[in-house]
Amino acid sequence: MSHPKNHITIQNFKLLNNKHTNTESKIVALLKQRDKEAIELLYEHYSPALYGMILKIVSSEALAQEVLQDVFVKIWKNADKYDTDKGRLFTWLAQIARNAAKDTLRSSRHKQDIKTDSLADNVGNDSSLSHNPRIADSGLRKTIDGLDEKYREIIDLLYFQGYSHSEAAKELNIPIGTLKSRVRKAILELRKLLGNELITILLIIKTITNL
Amino acid sequence: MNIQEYIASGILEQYVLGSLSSGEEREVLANAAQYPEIRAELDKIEAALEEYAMRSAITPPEGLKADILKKIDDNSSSAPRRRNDDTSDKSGGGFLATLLSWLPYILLPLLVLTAIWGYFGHQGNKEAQEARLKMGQDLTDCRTKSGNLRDTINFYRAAIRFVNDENTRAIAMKGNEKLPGASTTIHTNTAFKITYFAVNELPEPPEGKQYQLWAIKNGTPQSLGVFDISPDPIAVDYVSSPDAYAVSLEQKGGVAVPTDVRIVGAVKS
Repeated sequence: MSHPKNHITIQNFKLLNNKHTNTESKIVALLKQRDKEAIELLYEHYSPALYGMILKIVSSEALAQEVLQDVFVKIWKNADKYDTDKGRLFTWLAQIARNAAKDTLRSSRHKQDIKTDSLADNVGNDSSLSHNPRIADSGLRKTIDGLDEKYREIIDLLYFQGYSHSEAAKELNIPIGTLKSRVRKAILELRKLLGNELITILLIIKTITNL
Repeated sequence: MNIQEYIASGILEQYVLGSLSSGEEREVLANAAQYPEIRAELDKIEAALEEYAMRSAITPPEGLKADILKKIDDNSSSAPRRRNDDTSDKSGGGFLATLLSWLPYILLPLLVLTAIWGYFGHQGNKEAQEARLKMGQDLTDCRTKSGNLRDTINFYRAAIRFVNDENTRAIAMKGNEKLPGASTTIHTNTAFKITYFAVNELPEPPEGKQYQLWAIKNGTPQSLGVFDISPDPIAVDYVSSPDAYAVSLEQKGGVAVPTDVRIVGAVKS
């Protein structure tokens, strides 16, 4: 019989994984050395994720672009404040993005209160905003869509829209204790979902390496 | 401190979501430094949310990167230098470096424009319009392709995480004297409770026979189903801490108890 030989080993994956980790540590090292290549790499790797996040908070492309610019300037200015002991690089980046977006939203709402016309309307009609945001591939979205609505809602509020726990508890009209355990459950569900999907990914990789 | 209770309290999620006070944050970090279990849990929460964000990514419009790099350049030139030994950005070299780093951004659009100009110069108005339409389509295709590529990379990253996950184990299974040289592998993840089975080297079964996979726990075999040889791994039921996995050769459709074991892999604890 002619059965193709499989070459997937944990060692192969370890090598690949080191390569990935190296990208993150390379970016961090460059950041600390104040090397601008760090910003280029950061932009390539993380700008779509950060932009998606900011857009969810400010819901205007023009504002989101402004915020994203500010975020990168902040990252550059505060690079020495990032500490690998505090966690993954993206967690830090996401926090900066969330805070910047929330600040912008607050001040734009403030302006909106002063002016009678709605800022969102103005921005929405701006013809220079012809750029069409491309949501991540539908196959990938499907995994997230598999998450129970009540869990997705909670992750969206806290992670993507930058609500604090107390703000979210008020919004959902539940006690803060309930919220905390629901957040934990939501992220556990997400982990499970991502884990299950990995089987499919492994199938794909196995097929690819057999070619 | 009860670590399990601490993890279950949801404080680690709060930490990653950035809704703790700085005092509470310090406390979480101190605990993470002291207890590896807490650190590991924290890592998993971060990784899951990062993956979530990656999957909800939206590509920012082109040109924004250049704007950002320019902003940062403006920003750095007005800020005091941090170190004296860093000469890379001093006026002369800095200017040249900046110019060089900008060259592609300036040249590329110029080239493209020139190409379009040259092209349209030889075409009628209608043809030009058609060409423009096609170019628009090509550009969309390009965008989609690069997006797909990024998604593929994300797929790989997730797979790497799984295989390299501290809770993923590979159990090598070797053919016995009846089937020397045969080899299969079980990958099992105790946290996600996922097991998959891969065939590395296995001859086709004789006519009317089929291979059957088993998990053996406390001396009792549990069938994980019959399988046909395929280059793709097979997702099988998760069994928590079995003593061994085995493949037997059985009549088509499988049996309740293995009769002819051919491949065995012991699970070392």
